[in-house]
Amino acid sequence: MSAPHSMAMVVNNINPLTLVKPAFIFMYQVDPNTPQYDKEQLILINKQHSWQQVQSIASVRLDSTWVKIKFTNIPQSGNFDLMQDPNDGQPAYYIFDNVPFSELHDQTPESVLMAEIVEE
Amino acid sequence: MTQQHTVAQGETLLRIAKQYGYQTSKALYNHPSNAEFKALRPDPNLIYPGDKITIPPKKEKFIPLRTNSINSFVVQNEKEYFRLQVSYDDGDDVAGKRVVLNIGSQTIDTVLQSDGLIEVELNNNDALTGTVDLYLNEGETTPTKSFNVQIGNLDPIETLSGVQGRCNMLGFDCGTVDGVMGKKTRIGVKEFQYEHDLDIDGIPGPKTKAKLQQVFGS
Repeated sequence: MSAPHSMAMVVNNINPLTLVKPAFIFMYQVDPNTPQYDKEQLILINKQHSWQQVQSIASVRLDSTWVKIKFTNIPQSGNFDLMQDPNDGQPAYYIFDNVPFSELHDQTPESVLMAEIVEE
Repeated sequence: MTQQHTVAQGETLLRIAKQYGYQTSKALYNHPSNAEFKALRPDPNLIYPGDKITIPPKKEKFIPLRTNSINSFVVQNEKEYFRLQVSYDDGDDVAGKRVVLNIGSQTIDTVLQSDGLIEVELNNNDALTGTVDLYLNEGETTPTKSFNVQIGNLDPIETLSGVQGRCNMLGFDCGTVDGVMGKKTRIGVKEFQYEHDLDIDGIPGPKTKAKLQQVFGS
């Protein structure tokens, strides 16, 4: 069971509550000027659960270099590695490794790729 | 004598009205002395701590009555409601999911219909706080998700706390609703902006607020 959150709500008006299914969303910035940038893949791995999921960088917005990679139905325990695979014969490398489930959602802004827009 | 009331966190306009002997929130909201407040808060359900409300003196009314006949009086008795609409982020049907609400002295144990909407009439003297327990998997005896709710605490969209509250409800986690622009808030706002084709800068500017208000509904 997830920890209870405190939700500020409005009286009389409808309060829309959206339930988010277990997923890890990684905001990822690509360089469209790099050859074959859209062939890159991100691989989320959880060794304890012998689980991994591969997401390719398929949906780059035309007006932005940001891609939202969503890993769905992820295990809710254990540690995670995220690897970037250029998918061009070059070796894959770690974006992060051995991150517990509870800290997974902190990873996106901490990554090198997002560093230039983290202002805290 | 005219008084002035300063709104505190969690107060609703109806409860303020009743505190001063009025039966409806409209008696205060539509009073000419509150025209400025009304312009500032176009939705009477979304008032903000620190707002000043003028409490006009109550006037005696003289109504001619007829003898030997029934004189009928209708007393307006405005009610407050808590309305919650549950949905999944991926559009899955929520029909059949069990929800238990504990609001003030009331416990409502119900099953969602396809629209995910629950409506509860609030008791006048009840606290506007409670819990929502959701049982999303069949046969579960402990809730899959639990939320503490603070009705009347959602701030107007113009405020950062109002942005945080709405984002959290819509599944874009901004962390604690504290009016502070921290890392979590920036991420939640960015995710909202991405989802709604806005410029992704993590700053809740006018366009982001307008979209958030539209998506949230108030």
